Amino acid sequence: MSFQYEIDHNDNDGALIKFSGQIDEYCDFTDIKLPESNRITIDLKSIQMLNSVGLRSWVMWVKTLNQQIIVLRHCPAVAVHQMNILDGFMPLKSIVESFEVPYHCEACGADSFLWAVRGEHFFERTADKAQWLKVPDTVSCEKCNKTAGLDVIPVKYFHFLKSRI
Amino acid sequence: MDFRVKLWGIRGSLPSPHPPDEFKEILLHMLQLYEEKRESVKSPHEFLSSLNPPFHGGYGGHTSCIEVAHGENALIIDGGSGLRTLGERMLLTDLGKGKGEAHILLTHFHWDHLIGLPFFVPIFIPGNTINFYGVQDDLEENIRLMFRKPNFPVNYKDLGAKIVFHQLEPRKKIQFGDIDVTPYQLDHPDPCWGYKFECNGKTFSHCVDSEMTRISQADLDEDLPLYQNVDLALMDAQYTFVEATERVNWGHASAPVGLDLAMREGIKRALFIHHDPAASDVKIQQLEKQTREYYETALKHSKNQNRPHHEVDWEFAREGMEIIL
Repeated sequence: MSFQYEIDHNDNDGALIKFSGQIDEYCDFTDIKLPESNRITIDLKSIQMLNSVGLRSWVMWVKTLNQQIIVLRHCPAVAVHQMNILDGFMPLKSIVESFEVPYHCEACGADSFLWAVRGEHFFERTADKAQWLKVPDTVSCEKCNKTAGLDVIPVKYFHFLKSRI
Repeated sequence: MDFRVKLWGIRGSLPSPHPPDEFKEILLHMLQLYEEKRESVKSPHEFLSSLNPPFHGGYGGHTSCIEVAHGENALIIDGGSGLRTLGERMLLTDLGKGKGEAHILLTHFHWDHLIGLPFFVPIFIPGNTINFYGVQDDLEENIRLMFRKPNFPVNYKDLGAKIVFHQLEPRKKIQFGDIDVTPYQLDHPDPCWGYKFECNGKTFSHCVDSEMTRISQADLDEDLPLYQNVDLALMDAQYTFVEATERVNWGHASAPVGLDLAMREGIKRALFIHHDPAASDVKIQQLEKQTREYYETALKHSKNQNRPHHEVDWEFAREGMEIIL
């Protein structure tokens, strides 16, 4: 699926932009015209793939944003992996509002996920506070109701929470 | 006969030897490790082989110089400081007797690709013929510039060997015996050309120096064949991912970008070179580790989503490596 975006001008006190598809060498951020606001929320829920070339375009585009706060909403696992591997995904003035936590059921093989929400499940490290994380180690499998375990290596997957300063 | 590629110089921008104190620190660390492991290793050689590059000689400090050969048919890419040591070895051939011929293909004329030329001994020996090839129309002017007082004590007109210049046409194949070579344009501030070599059904592409700003197939257009289904590619990894996003138009790239291109275009083996002169061996190793995580994650996601992809055998290259294709 190719890259697409949709802008909603009325999200609380700022604009909301929803991205979908693939952030790769074929996506172009340069024609996105955002309304003037102090805050922008970028919803990444429908991003299916993100590679280094797309990420390079992303970093260049984010640098051009003049909003004071950039909120990243519904960061999928593909984006979380990149946050942890390639510095630069998250601009300094950004906040992760929610991100995907994957689970896997050994019994039936199904994958589940939970949206970890800032303030409820996690808080990133700040200048005066350590990061904290309260995501469950297991959830109920959406398919067979048995126990699904965390499908990531915590020390790697949640690393971005402490690398913000 | 083997079609082989040898890396005589892979450092970017400036030769970067280990300072004595740094070498001493490395040696000390190695001796301490050996002391700990001497009961379990069979030989000093086995011990050395078990070490990571920073403690196994490092990645190398000579700038760009690559040898491509099939039997006695040898071509040289660029005249960086690595050319001096290659030149010494070539003295064992007819070039040492004043009866030889050398072929040097130049990518561009930045200093790190030329500074070995005044120390390429065969060029001073009467009877030899040194052929220079390049797409740029100021090839001769730039070679003459390297042999001029007061920058170098031997003037161009006093060189012993016969010098011949050959201007290449973009994307037009030429033959060197049984090796075919085609130049393709790279993305670099001053025009820079990569080369694709074909021999015995095997292909090798030299894709350095390049910022790789053109990545999509449409953008690469007529330069796309440089990357398609090649057996071995040398690619630019001078910077970390973040450095590359900050140093726009500096002409170099980070390894993940090259890997994405390699995975898409079916490059079988990619070697990353042009390591930054400011990067220590430890930093390059960390960069390689970070790139490994990126690659494994990208591969896993491609498989999970059933997206087409090619697996790539890749590593950050070290000076002195020789690859048989």
